[in-house]
Amino acid sequence: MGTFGWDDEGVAAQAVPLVKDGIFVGYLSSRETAPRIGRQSGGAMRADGWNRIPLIRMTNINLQPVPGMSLDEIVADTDDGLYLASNRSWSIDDRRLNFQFATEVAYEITGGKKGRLLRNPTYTGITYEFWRSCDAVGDERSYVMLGTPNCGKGEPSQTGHVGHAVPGARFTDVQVGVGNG
Amino acid sequence: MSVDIDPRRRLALAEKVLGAAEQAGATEAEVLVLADDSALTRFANSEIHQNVAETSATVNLRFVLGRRVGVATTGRTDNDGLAALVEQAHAIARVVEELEDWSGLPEPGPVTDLPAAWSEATAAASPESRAEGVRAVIAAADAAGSIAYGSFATGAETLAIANSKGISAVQRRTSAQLLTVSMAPNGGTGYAEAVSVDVGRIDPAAIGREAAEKARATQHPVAVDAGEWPVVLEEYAVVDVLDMLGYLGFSALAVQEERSFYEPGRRIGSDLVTIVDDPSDPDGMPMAFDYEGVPKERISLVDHGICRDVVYDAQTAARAGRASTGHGLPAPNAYGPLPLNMVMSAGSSSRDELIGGLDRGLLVTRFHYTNPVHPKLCVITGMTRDGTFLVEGGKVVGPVRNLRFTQSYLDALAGVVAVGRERRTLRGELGAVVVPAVRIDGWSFTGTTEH
Repeated sequence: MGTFGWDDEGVAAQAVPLVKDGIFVGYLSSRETAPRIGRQSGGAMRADGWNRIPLIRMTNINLQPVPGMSLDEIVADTDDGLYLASNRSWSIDDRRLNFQFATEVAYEITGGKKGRLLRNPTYTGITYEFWRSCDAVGDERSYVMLGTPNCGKGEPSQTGHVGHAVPGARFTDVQVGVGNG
Repeated sequence: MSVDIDPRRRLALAEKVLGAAEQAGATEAEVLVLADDSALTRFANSEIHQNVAETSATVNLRFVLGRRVGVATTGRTDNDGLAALVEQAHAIARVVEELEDWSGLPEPGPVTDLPAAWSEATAAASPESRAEGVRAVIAAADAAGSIAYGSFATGAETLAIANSKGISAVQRRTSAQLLTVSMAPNGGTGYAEAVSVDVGRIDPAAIGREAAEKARATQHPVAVDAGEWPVVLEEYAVVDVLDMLGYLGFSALAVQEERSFYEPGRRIGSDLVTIVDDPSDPDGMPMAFDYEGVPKERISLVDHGICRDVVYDAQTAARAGRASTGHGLPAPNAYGPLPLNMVMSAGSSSRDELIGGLDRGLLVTRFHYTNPVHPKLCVITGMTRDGTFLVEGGKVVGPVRNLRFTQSYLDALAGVVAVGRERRTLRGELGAVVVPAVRIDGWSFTGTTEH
């Protein structure tokens, strides 16, 4: 969904590693910002129309699959946890550290099986602590292309298409909440 | 190049397209012309780095065939462009499904001229005049040892509308907004904003000083625990409360779709909470009629804590068996009617009295990245930003790191124990709002962060 040929500075679309084997290695960048860190633009400057100034913004930010287990097999490998699906609410602080997401549904996982359906689930944490706690990523059998057509950024606000190809993953010691209503 | 925002000529354009649509066989038609001449000067790292200007005119046509409604928009105002617009809207109307409860376009009503909506000074604002304002903001940051970021926007627009029921109305409006984030060493950040019809009512030096002083005061923030805290919310934070209430609950469509908290006579706030949608309040951004050409009414939304009414457009009003309140948005509109001119009544407390009433609590400047967790209960999550302070014994004792909250805004209104006597005009997601600061006896903070 975030696919294009060239960005709005004429830089060819390209795959840019951001995190490799758990280590932060790269940035989304533009022709103006990349030279400041000794790099060439990764082609992430996009505007939502001819009359808007391009912004550095997400393209397809993908979590690469890891050979081994499918998402179903990760569930089967989980003794006690929650299965959270379908994002419906999102918020993150201005330094992208504290986040909270709500999902449409959650199921209890007990002994490797999905069980009771839970209402109004949320999960929250600090970005790097959350990702450091990732102990399983699904393989190519679970790799799906998701995304959103209305990612907002900028002032005045601009809307962009963003893709997220992801296989599903497991995280440990995550603070979760459920609610009534 | 300047776009033509002359009201008479814009209305004539709407009438011309209306005639073409009727000639093409529309059983009903509505033409909305929006002409906009706006500019924005942006600054970062204490220097101007962008000055953008936009002039545009869009023509929006609702072409009705019985109960089928086609909508098309163009940015072309030449004869070929307008002919293509009519053809396209007609083509859409021929193939879309009938609307079972289509109530027809609205009838004309008396439109009151609102001279308070227009400022010659704002319409005449130049890159140089905005740069002068930015210079004052940066000077204040320089004096405080902080770095200034922000934007100064000015604009003028003309809205003309004509429909086949006889509506023929035009209004012109101006707006100006200056906002800045000031960043000090050691983690200090501060925010300030001003919005007005009249750019002359914005004091850039004062805005710059407010943000810079707050940035200085928020250096070296300390961590406090999440949990239930009494709070004073500055006006910048109160804007978000009204925005969410308006978006989630004060629309007749939300009520009709049973996703609103609103029930007539339901108490949702303390006695101190009164909110109206007042399109003629000169402290806001006045608007004479909505995007369907219906005169805008002043609507009491919450009266001393009690839900009184919501806002309607033509379609939701017809479903409810009443008249539109003049809160329609441009077609096609999936959001339904929205309150674009919310005003919260002032109270009697000074700023010092609001803070002085906190035995141990938090003073919050503004919120960041808020989103509904549970729309019907109006449970919202978000972060504090740009100035959060610990208050003890009624005195500000120092800055604290930002906190995440997950809070029902309805419960927050019920917990309002004091309201500021001063108000600010600010820009929310739904338009300009006029709001005071408030003190609330409990606010649910659910997480912490590192700055």
